[in-house]
Amino acid sequence: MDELDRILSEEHAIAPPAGFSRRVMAAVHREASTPAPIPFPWRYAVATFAAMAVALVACLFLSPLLPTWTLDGGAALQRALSRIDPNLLAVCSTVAFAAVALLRYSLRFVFF
Amino acid sequence: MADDEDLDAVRAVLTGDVSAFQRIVERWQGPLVNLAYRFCRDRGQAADMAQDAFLRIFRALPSFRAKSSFSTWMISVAANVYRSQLRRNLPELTGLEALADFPGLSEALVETAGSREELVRRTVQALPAKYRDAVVLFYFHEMNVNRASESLGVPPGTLKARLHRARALLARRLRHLFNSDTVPTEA
Repeated sequence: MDELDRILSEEHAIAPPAGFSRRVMAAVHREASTPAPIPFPWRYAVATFAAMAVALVACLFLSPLLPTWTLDGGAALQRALSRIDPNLLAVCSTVAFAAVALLRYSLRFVFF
Repeated sequence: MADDEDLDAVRAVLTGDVSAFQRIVERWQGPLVNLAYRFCRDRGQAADMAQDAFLRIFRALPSFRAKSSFSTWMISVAANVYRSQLRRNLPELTGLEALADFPGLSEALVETAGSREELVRRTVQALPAKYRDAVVLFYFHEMNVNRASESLGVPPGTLKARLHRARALLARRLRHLFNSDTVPTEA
């Protein structure tokens, strides 16, 4: 055994401070009494990302195949939207988003 | 035997008897506080680190699969806690590393550290993290390479390589403290 081994092997043991296990157990009981965190919904997230990816790929590959009237329709929709008051449009889109979110939330009571 | 008692306590905790964790704390508080002290060399901080480690072990109990012994798994979790805590507090530990490279300072450093032994331990603490962790766990496990490598989560060969490199660094940094023929070169 060389000098370094001797020094590092001869570490003097220290005693835990008084009341250490009591403090630890108090912390453990606090930990046990707090509700478990809600896990991230990976299943839904992965399904959503997959659907978005499929939609993106479909848009990229199918858009050249769309008939020209759909482009005209898009331009007409844009013109129509530009005539609407932006504040009203913002309110409507917020309400629509909230409605979709509420619908999605309520579906969990139906399917799960 | 002790591992059976630990496993009984683990099973009790997992079935909802949180108080059974006290048996684990009582049995392992000494080793975990001492391991923390080897990492940080401060008694107060060691107790805080060990408390965090016990909490992490409690949270992680459902993931214990009994592939290794409970003690090995527990020390591995604790070592991870200590290493990540030290990563946050590391800058204050690096001063000695820089000083040790200057010749003629060994006596002053010994005086600052309190003893030659303490200077060696502090120099270990100032090693790069992966070498420090290897040295600390190797000597904590009484120079058992297999147990130290399990605690560190690396193959035994990797641990041996890190120990070899750590010893070379220590030899260079402590060359003014030891005669060249007493400085170890190989694990």
